[in-house]
Amino acid sequence: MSLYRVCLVLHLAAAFLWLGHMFFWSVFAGPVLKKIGPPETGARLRALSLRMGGLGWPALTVLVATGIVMLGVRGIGVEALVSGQLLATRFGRALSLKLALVLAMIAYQAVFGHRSAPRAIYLNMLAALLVLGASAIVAGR
Amino acid sequence: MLSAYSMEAFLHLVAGVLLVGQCLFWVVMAVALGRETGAQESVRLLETINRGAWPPVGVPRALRLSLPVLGWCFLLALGATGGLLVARHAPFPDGLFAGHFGHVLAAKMALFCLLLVGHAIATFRPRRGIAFVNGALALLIVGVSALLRH
Repeated sequence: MSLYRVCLVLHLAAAFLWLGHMFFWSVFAGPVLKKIGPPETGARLRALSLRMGGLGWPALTVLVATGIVMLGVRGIGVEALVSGQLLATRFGRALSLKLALVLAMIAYQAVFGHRSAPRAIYLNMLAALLVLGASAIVAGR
Repeated sequence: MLSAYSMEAFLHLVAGVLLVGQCLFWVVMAVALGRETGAQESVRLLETINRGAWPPVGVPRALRLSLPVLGWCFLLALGATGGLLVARHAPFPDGLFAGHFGHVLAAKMALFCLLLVGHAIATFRPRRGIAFVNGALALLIVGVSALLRH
């Protein structure tokens, strides 16, 4: 298996685990566990579900590292990223959007980490959805 | 604006993310309950979680979905969007499962079928063991998907 494929496997695994944790806990598991009765049982289960902590920094580390390698294999270097030449193609525009959103998510992770952020988390999830959309375009190249 | 293909791929990715998230949730709960409680209490609490309904507010109780049913929704979305994405590669002159793409697709579909069986078991008998199996299957499917290049 080539280096590119190994990086792609790790990139996808990190993305799915991180975003899956983010979406499923925030949208489904958290609200469901809050309403499980009796209240002591619900509280206990919620506490247990949060034991693992956040996946943000480990996932972002893998995502950035593997992303840099994959861009390099595709011949996309720093110059292409900063010069604006990527914006000439649909693929390039989608990639630029994806990278910009990833930077925003890194900023969110740095400010909030795994702490509760009732409103900002939804902006972070919106960014994640847009990253997935951009990834669908990038992967289709 | 997303093309039809990109939209199908996007929905496939979102459904996959949600399914992996659910599998991860069950693994986390299985590990946490295994450390904190005995076997019988673990089973009782896993079954309690299994009966949890979503959304917990704003919708009549009869219309709420249990966590396993949500999982079936994600699996259905994955199957449907996956079928559309594969159909885009048609026709298959040497057969659907021929060549590198076909072999990897066959592996992915086999793993997906195993996950369907695993999810069916977890729907009626949520246990720590099946949570780990389903989690492993979900991650394997993600890994195999990375190899799926036509």
